[in-house]
Amino acid sequence: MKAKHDVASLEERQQAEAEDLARRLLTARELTAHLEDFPSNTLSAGLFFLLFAAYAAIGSLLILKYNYVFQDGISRVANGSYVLFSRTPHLAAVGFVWNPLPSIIELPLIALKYLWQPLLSKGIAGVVMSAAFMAGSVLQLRGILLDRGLSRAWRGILTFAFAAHPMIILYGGNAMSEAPFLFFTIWAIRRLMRWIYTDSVGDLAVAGVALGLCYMTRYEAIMLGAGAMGSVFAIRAWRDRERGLKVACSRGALDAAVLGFPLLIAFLFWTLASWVITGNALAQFSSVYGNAAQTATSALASQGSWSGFVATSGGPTLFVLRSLLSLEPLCMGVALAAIAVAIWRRERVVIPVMSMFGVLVLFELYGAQSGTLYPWLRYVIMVIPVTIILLATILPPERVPPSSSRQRPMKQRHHFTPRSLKMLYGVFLALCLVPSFPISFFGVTNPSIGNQEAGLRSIIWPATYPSDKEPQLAGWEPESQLAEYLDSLGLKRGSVLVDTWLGWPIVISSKQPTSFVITSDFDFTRDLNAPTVYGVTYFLVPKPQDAGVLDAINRRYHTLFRNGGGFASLALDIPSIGSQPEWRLYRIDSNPLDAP
Amino acid sequence: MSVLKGSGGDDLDLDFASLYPGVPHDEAVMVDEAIHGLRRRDPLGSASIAFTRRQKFVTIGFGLVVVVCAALWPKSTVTWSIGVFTFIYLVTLFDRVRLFSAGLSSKEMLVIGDEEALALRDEDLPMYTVLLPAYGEPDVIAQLLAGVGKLNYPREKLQLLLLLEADDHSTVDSAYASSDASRFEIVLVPAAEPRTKPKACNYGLLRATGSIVTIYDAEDIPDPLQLRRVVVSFNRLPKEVVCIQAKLVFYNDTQNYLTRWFTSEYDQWFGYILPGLMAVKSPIPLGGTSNHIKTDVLVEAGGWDPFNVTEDCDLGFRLAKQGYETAVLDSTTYEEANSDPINWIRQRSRWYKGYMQTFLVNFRSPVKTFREFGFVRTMRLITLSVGLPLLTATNMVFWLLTLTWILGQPDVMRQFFPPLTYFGALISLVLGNAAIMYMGLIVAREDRKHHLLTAAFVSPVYWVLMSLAAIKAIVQLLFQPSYWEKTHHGLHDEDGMAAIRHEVKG
Repeated sequence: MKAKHDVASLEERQQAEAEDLARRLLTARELTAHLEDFPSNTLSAGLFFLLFAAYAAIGSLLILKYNYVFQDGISRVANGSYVLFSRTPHLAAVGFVWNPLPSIIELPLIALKYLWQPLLSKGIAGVVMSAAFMAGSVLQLRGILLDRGLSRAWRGILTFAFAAHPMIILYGGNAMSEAPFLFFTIWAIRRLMRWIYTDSVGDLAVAGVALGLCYMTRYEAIMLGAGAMGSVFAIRAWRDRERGLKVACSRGALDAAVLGFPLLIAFLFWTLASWVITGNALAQFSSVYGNAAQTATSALASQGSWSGFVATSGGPTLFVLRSLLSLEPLCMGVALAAIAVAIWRRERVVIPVMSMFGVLVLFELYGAQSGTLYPWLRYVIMVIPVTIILLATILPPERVPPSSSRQRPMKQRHHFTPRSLKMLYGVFLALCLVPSFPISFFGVTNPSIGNQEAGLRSIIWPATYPSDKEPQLAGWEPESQLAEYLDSLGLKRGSVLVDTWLGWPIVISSKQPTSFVITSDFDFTRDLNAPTVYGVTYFLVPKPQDAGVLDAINRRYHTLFRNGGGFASLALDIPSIGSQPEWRLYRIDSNPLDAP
Repeated sequence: MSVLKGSGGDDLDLDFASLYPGVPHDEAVMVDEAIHGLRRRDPLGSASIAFTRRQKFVTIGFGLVVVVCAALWPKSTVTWSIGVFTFIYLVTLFDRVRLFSAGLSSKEMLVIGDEEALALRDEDLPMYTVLLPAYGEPDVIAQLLAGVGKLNYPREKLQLLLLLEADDHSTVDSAYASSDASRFEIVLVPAAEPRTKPKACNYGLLRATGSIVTIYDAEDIPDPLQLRRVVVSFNRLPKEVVCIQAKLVFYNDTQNYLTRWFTSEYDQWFGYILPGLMAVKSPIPLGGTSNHIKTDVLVEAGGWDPFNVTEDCDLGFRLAKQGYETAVLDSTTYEEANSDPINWIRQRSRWYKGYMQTFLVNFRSPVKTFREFGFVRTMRLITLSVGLPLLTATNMVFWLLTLTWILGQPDVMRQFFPPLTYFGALISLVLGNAAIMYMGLIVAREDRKHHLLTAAFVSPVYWVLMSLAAIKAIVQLLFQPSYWEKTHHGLHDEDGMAAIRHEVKG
């Protein structure tokens, strides 16, 4: 009898809590305004443009003034330029080694090179792309805070902690794909967190589309997708557990399928396109330029530096851990606190966040262990938004998005924090966030942690770290001079054959990109095999060392670089500067097939 | 004699005795009206002539132009055809997604709660006529009792008209023999061609006393409160709304993959696309049963067209043309899905042919149609009638092209796909197919039908069936426009029966 009474009073209490919550809900109009994926109100638009301008300005400054470039980012701009300015413009020229979305988005900006050459030749189109996506990431993160109804002060602190993080500022303007990756990831997380409350198929579908677009940016999206689908399956199955195991699992699978479908389509589309066009279904992993080949040659070439370095810093596991901690020093503590609070409060929003990030970190660990993936600092950049989102979940929601389900709405218990707890939370927040600024700054400028980023230190302390010792600050001065020289020769269309694998700086620096036969051209292999027949007069070839081993000309003619292979004579030698390879320009004298 | 407007039969002074041998004169007049009423008053509004002379001229002329072009400039003709079709695909795809998302988020579907439906006092309810056409179904009474018989409506206000073909002896005999026959008013439709469901319904309409009329198939299981919900809806809605369509849902969806796909398609259509159409104020093609229409308006509009094999779709457009509106009600009628592929193709090709007939009827004078419906609604009319079967048939061509492409004839393909077409076709191939599959998945999720999950992933097989049916329908429309597909009678399994009931009787 008494037990029954308790149950009733519990239900009453929950009812009262729900009503309390309903009172705190915004009016419908305010609600739809903040629920939008891309809010169009003045504050959001202002914030976006401010951040966009700041990131783009910093990024452009670093490239144009200090020559501080992330070559992987600029090479994607180059990929976009082949689509528009090669001898045979076609979309597939965007290439299949890198997932294409950043390059495709950069296309309109690349087309504007006639107005301002550096958009292409210095990769500023990529800077604009990453700045827009990073500003968008900040807005998506702020959207999560808005969805939870956090007060303006909390919102401000947490948004700032993300937007002003040194790593975020750096990747907000360096043309790399980290910014779009973060944008799509946070967008997906936001919709999934919302789904916990709304149970709306729309939230699942939009999260799925975000993951699909994320895959078109970076293939790690598969890991995020696996984590997200797993958590959606588990949450849905648990909700329907009283309907029996089979029904619960089927419904879980259905929700997971709605989430995963766009990702699956993105994967199938890209794989099929790659297979149809290049004959290699998974070029980004297994082609001659793919990840496996890159890590293999690099491990071979820099035995002493890279793998040795990972080993001396305590093995890959510790190394990944150290990367995480140097970006967000208190991420572990925050994660534990968020889990504890979530269990105590029986709130499920942390599940998708944790499982997505968890699977990603496991993947990085596996990659580092097996030597198939560089343990680069940027690969764990997601720890920054995840830590901040988890911090946001510790503070209880002041409001939640209303259920839009056609079915039974979700019941959720809510606690509203007393003032004293909020004070305590503020102190906790400060303790968690404040150290991340100096420590991550230290990490980013320290080559043993910020392995790709540390070139920054010679910009900040030029006296201590002279810039000529920093390979990252070398840019591609030799290559652009070479391009200038080739332009001055007034070459015919397609008279210089070059593999854009390493030769992209030459092609984007040239004012006559059509004088090159490049890797994405349909006739590249044909011309490589019979240059004299098809009017190719020069081969441009990098030194077969490190990544240069993978160059198509070096793979086809092993001795060409050394001695002309018996069919070509050396026209020009461009010595190596910084990390750039030594280049040689060979004039083709006779058909290579006739060579002794 | 005739209730139908214009009362054609008497004026024409026909020799009913020789036209309908053995049928008493007044019944002959009625059946004549049921068959010819619409086309006498509005010859162009009936599908009794599939193509008018002008339409024949235009169709043949267009065909000739294409053939001549193909002979003179084969490459450009193919290139241009592909381009045009790609454009049409993209537009219809965009529209479909838009309608679906409008339906997904809309509150357009009328929801009338049980309390509200039951709150109506018996004396406030109007007279209601339910038409129950049946053919070759000896246990029709038992079926009706299990479904329609459960309708919650005062008996004295409910006219249940069981429409049987006079020469369908087994059904007629067993119906009369049943002890519950007294609950129904059995109407024997005199034997006369064409033997179609709309003809039987027109015949029943002549005897209808209700102010609202609806149709159910014998095996339908409507929501018991459906008629009451309709009455509440009509009371609440503006005068222009004269027709209310309830949701049709299959109950045998787990029988096999075909019924799963069919279910998924119906769920999308009635649960999302129709509300979406309602949201954008488009003409709504009615479903085969469970459409509730104000009797006076239906009579005024000329009833159903017995020469159109999808008389329901045609009627929906005819009502829209006259400025009336249709609403969609959240009340379910359970039906049985066709579970046999051959029968399914037969049924589906008939529907497609009917859609195309409806298009021809509505486009006797295209200029007039555009003036009456406006541009956007006319475009929707086109996509909903002729667009659907035409694109479904063309799918086959594009699938084969895709296969050729993938299996390695890219150079040939490049000739026919200039960049604009190429990317359009690529979007339509990838996003289009994905979007259609995704909608199936979303609907399964929203309707909590987790058993449709795998069916959604293999739905392309269903699309192939649809394409075959569409090709069959087009060929038949061109070469045998007035041919009535004969269906197997005496298929003694339940499903075959259900399929046949839907169809034109031959």
